[in-house]
Parts: sequence; C-alpha cells; structure tokens
Amino acid sequence: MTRKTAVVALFLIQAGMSDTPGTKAPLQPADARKPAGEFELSDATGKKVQLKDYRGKVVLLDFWATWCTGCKKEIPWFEGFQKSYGQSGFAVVGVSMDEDGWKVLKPFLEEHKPSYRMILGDDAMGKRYGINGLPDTFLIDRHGRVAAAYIEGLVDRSDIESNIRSLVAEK
Amino acid sequence: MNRICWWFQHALTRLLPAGERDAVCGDIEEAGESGAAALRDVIGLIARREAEWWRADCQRWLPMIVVADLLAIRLSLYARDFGRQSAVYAWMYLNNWTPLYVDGAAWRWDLIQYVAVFVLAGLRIACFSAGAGAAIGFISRRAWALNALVLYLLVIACAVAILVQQHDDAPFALALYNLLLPLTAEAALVAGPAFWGMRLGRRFERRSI
Repeated sequence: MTRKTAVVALFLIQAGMSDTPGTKAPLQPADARKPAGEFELSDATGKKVQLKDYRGKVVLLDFWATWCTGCKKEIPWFEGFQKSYGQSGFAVVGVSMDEDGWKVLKPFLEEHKPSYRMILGDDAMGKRYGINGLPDTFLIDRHGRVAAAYIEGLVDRSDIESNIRSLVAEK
Repeated sequence: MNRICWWFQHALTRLLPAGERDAVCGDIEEAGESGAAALRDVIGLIARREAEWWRADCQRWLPMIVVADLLAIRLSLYARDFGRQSAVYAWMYLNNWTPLYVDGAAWRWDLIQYVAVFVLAGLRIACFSAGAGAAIGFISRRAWALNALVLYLLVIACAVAILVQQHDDAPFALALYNLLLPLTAEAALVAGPAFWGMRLGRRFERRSI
C-alpha cells in the first residue's frame, strides 16, 4: 500500500467515525416530567431496593439482560458515569430482565463485578416502565421524575452524559 | 478501417486451435477477401465452434452455473451478515471505547472472544469463497469465465443491495459501518478470495489435462 492510499484510507475511516450516534433523548423541562414508577425489588444480596431510597439523587435506571450483548457493552460506560458523577449525587441502578432470574444473573455479576447496584426486575416493573425491548435507559431527576427516556437502543454516550451533567447541576 | 479489421481478425484467430488457425489464415489469404469480410468469416467460425462446444458440454456447464449462482448468493449473504454484525461490535468498541473494557478480567475476556469470533468468521467466509472459486476454476473448464462473471455479477448485486438498504441501528448512521465495512467484507471475503481460488483452480485444471 502506498503512503497516499494509506492516507486516503485513514481519512475515510476517520470521516466514518467522526460522529458517534446512538439513541438520543431530549431532557424534559422540569414541569413536564412525570413521576417514575415506584418499585421494590431485591439486589444480589437479598436486600430490598426501592426507588424512593434514591430520592435526592439523579438515577440512571438501566433495563438490561445477560442475553442482550449490546446491553452488556453499556455496563462499563455506566460504571464510568458512576465513577465520575457519584460524588455529585448520581447513582446507577441496573435492572436485569432475565427470565431465568438469579440463576443466570448471579454468575454474571460474580464474573464481571459491576460497580453499581443490580436488581432483578419483574413483569410488573417492565409494564410500569413500558419495556418492550432492551436496552432501555431512564434518567430520573432528584425528585423521582423521569427526565429522559432512551427507548430500545444503545444510548448515545455523549448525549446521556450531557443530560446527566445537566440533571446533577439541577437543585 | 481495413487495417483495423485485419488486426481484429488476427487477434480473434488466436481463439482457434493452432492447427485450425493456420488453415483458416491460409484460406482467407487465398480467397483475397477484404479485412471486413475476413473478420466476419472468423467471427462466424468462432461462434459456430463455441456453440458446438457449449451444446455438447451443457451437462457440465449448466449445473456449474447453477452452483456458482447459489455459492455467490450464499457467500454474499454471509459477508453481508458478517459486515453488519461486526459493524455493531466495532461501533461499540471503537466509537464508544472506555478503558473499563480492558480493566476487568471478564470484560477483557469478552473483548478477546469477540475479536477471535470475528476473525474466525471472516476467515471461514474467505476460505469458503476461495474453495468455491477453486472448484469453479477447476471443474467448469471453458465455462469458467462465464461462471466467474455470474459469480461477480451476483456479488455486485448484493453489494448494491447493501448500498440501498437502510438500518435503524445506531452504527449504521455512519458511512463507515453502513457502507464501507459491508462492501469491504464483500470485496475482501468473497470477491478477492474467489478470484484467487479461480486462478488456482485454472492452474490445476491446466496441469491435469
């Protein structure tokens, strides 16, 4: 390959990669936000987890499953957000929608050791949040209201991070 | 014009067997025909010879063309699927890279597995294409050019279908994943290896005669 060809190839690759689209979601104005569905589910240790435990914090609620490859790839992104914004009142909660329950979820958690809390979802919770496909990601503000919903698709990482920053800055 | 006709006539006589070529050239010279008439005669003769061969050997070339069709479609579909799947994973890893993908042993192992799976899948398609090309080159003898043409036309048709198709998934909003990667997969995993295989098959076929 000549140098000129290599430069052209690199340019094409760079041009193709210059944007990183994913599912984007507009941040709802505070007065238009609806209350997020309450839930009470167990985490891997058996401890009950409720949404109201997180009142006062911005929550990223991630619906995923161990069979959903794309969902699993998002976990390290969310771990990064937890690390960056955790001190500013931000928390990630993963909701596994695996039908086989803890039998498949526990080995995954033991192997991958995600740095945020994982709970096992159920049909009622799925219905409450209108889950039809995975992954689905919701940003919930400090008052327990849905501020942005990323439905059925990998999130656009820069878009969700920008929304997290805005929500964390809200009083 | 006359000189051009003679030039074409000479070039075309090379398609005839050596003995027959000398006889035909001798006859044309004796007849004292114009270049255009000589060219017309040679084209007619070659067309008759080819038609005889195709008719006599249709049991060989007809199934081969069908096989080449099926192979081309199958291989192109494999390459298209490979392009799509690898696009999604490439987008996730390249466009959304985070050091956390290699921080933990489990995430690192996932990455290694994906790379290995895609390298092996690509190699499998390339080997299959090269094998199909070699079979076409070896078995179809004089029909190899036609079979190659059919194979490439179908591969090009599949490439055009890729260009026309639209996908909603995030990676396919980028030209790299929507066009460049699937077309490269078609070229690198099907068209290239099949061409190499055909040349190899032709070489073996010539040796075996």
